[in-house]
Amino acid sequence: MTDKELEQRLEKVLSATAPDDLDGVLSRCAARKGTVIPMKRVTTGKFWKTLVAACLVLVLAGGGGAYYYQANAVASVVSLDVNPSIELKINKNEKVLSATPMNEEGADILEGMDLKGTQADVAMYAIIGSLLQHGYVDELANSILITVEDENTQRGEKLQAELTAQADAAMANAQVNGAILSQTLQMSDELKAKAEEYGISAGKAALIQTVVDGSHGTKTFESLVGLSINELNLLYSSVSVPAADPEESGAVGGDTAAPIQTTGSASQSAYVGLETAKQAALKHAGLSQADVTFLEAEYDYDDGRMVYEVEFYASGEKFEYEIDAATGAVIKYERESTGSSNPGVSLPAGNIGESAAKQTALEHAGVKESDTKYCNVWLEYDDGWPECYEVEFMAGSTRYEYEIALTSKTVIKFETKNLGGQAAQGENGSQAESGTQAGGTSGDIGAQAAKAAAFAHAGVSEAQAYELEVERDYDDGRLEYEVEFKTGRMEYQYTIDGVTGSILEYEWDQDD
Amino acid sequence: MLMLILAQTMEQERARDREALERLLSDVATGYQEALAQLYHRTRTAVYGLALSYVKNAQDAQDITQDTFVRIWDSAPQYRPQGSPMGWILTIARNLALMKLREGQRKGELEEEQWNAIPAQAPNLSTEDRLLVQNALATLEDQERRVVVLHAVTGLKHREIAALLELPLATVLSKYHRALKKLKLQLEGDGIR
Repeated sequence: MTDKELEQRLEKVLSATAPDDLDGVLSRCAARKGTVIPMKRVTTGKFWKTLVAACLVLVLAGGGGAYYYQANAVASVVSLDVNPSIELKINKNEKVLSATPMNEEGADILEGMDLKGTQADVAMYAIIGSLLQHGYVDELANSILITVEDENTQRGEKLQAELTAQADAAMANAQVNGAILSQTLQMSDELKAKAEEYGISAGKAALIQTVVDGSHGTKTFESLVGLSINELNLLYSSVSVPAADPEESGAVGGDTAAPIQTTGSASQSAYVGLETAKQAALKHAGLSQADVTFLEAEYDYDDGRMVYEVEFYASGEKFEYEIDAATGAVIKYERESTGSSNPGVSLPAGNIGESAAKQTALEHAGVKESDTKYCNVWLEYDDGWPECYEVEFMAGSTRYEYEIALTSKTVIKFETKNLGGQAAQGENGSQAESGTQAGGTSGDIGAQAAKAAAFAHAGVSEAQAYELEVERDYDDGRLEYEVEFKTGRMEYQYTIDGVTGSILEYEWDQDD
Repeated sequence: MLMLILAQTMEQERARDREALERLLSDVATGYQEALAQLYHRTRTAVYGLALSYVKNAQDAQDITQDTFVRIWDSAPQYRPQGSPMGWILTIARNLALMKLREGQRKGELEEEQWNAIPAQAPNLSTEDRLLVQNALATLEDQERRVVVLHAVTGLKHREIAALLELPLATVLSKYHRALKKLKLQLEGDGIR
């Protein structure tokens, strides 16, 4: 028997025993809203019928004449998201005017329930009961999102508090450890448009926007649309506590999104947990917790899966890990080595020393040492030869990384990263300019011009770019600028001639 | 010469398969259920084979197979073509399989499960075939079984299998060859008796 015959035999047996239950799969696949479904598969009949019926209720309610106007005017709109998504229209007496499923699962939840005319909190209790019964809130995914839209913020917040209390009670009653995210907001046109575009509720759109705003430009709205409320809750809890600067916590979310209240904590049962993730990274690095400093882990979403970002420092090296949240496996790791000295290599004469290097960086940044945190300076070696000083510190919510020349107080390279709520790139842009001044020589086009050349070539505006890095470099005796930035899913790398501004090399990549 | 042409044809076939899967996934992303149906028929054996090689029992592997396709339906809009649609699909299946295994551990099913994966009542399958494969695969170690099953049913290359299983390529190759040797010994030995 040849290898191929053997494999074919295996294939034959496995293919005969593999399940062939397409209907079982399709019955669990909700119709995606906002997409065209070919006529030949009419699987969404029930959904549309329910929707039409719900709309009819609204039309009838709205057409009742002036006498009924008060009772039938919509005062608040409440949306409830788990994965099923439901919208309740409430009048000022907190009576339900209509309950509308926003997706097919939502229709399942509401099936057989007549909520019209009931008190809003009673309706909430019933809906949560149905959600539990249908298995949408369980040990693996326990988060629900309650959003109240109301022009009258005070009234909205009161309703939000009542509904949250009811949902909490319903879950406690069923002995489910639930987590509730709740918010009251006034809908902006921008959010409405996003909600419509992706076929999600406005409340979920607002939550996603908050996570995106808090992600320092590393997330896009689109990439998060498919996540469940539980996953979003985990990400939200990561972004809402800025890693290095607790004073900044108010800034997350910007001023467009309403603050989100949370009760309970999102289930992590589907994942290995922050502690396990940290241990997995440490184990991989061959270190123990006692060997490292600034050990941090948080949830992130990358390449279509939930991951933990684990970061720590050990003996002057920085370790960055990405751990699969579901399996605890190491997906990626990066170890930024400061290198070590060849035996017998001594520092060049006239080296400025660590404290002068630190001073140079602080002056360049315009920051006093007393205003910094985690200020570190060390010698960077390349192939065993001392190359430069490296200085790192945090000031406010910004992390600065500098490379300072060995023998003169010159900034060779610097990078700033904003870890707080404000836009990161403005900071980078202006800093990059001053970088040129520090290292400027005659016949040098400067970082600004190099950056502009790269943007022009890529057809990208600076406003679209993030994680912008400009590095001034000598390569083969030629002055060059390395310009790197990202937009959406693309990553760009340019090498620009530092004297002529012409593009020497470039690379575009899918950012993954 | 013939070998070369054969190899080229296989390579072309592979590329065509890949393109077809990419196309199906992008159709699934737009909410086209027929595309999911086609995807299911093309890849269910691979998904099932992978699931089985982890959980080692038919019932759980069937559940994982169904969950995988539901997950594909939900996640397809996030899929970006990166040259290995099958790799993406199987990564989902693998994550679900690992989750299932952990669930088992939490419930205290600590005992190593025996390989008992080929159900007795499978239509279109002779008892002889069934027993042969059941017994032959039972002689393999977990990782050997995984590698050989993946190679047989997914069309993935060893390099891709290594990436999927997070193992070094050399390990995958040696496990594969050892597994084939054991299987042949078992199957051919059986024929002589």
